[in-house]
Amino acid sequence: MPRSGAITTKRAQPAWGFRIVRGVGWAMIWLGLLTLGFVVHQLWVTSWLAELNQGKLAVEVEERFVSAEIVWVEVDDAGEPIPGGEILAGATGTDGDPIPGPRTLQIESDPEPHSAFAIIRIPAIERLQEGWNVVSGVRVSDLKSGAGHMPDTPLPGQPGNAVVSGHRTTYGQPFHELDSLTPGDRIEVETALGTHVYAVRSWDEVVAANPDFAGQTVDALGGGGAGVVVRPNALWVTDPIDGGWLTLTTCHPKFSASRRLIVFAELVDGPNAAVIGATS
Amino acid sequence: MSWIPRAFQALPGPLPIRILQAIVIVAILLVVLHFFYEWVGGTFLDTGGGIE
Repeated sequence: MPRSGAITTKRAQPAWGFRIVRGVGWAMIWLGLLTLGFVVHQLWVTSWLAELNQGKLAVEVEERFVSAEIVWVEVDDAGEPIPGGEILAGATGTDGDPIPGPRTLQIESDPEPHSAFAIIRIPAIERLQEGWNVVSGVRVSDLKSGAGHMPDTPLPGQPGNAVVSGHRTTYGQPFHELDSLTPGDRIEVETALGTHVYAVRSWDEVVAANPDFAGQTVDALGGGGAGVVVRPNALWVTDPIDGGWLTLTTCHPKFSASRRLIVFAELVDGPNAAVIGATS
Repeated sequence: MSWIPRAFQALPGPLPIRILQAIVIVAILLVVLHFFYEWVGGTFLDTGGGIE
């Protein structure tokens, strides 16, 4: 029997309103997936990458501790090395080291740029109890691997103000809990010279050590934290301070790069603490 | 999402070649996305804390 009654159908096009709503719906779904991917990437992927890099840096640090050249120099009343006051050059390790005198400063050779040369430990911060490797440099790539030492500032354990920066919420979040530090908390930095111990200082104590800071604009952190909050371009925090100091910088508030959280700490123990304390 | 199977079908070559092409394209997209996320995060979320 012929199919005389066959009906041909054409798929009806959805109405414009429906197509717009469907398009917006799909756009929202994709935007949500992209945002979710961003969160996963920032919180977990970057930290996973940082952990991988930390493993490599740990090897670099161990090599640095063995190969760094250490010299002992006599310093004057101001803590400055006396020209020609070098009493032993090129020594490595501890065998045959001279006994440092009361005015003898130990100096280690400058690390290679962008290489790991120190380990920072903060007992009051759980994630930093084991230590986090510190690299020389504060380029974006440096800070993805570890905490970064600002090359224009003295090395930790030396007279002056050593500045170290680190991520707050990504790439292992080494300085995530920096706001929890209170005056007196210990910060340890291990270098080729040994372990330098710093004590966190309040803003008032920092200003007493460098009165030039008194005129600077800082916001209190609140909550009993020792840190202060400054603008991202507050280069004055890297200025020299009498004695041995360590300045830690990180982003503030968490999940924003709009400000910087600064924690100052003073050298209280370690290979150079006595000579720096006696001359500052 | 119907464009995804259609796009896959539009790839040239037999099925194994199309699968290979799809894997390469997805890998490239993920790498691009990774660098995009790094840029957004490093610019707005957490620069590393350096003083500029």
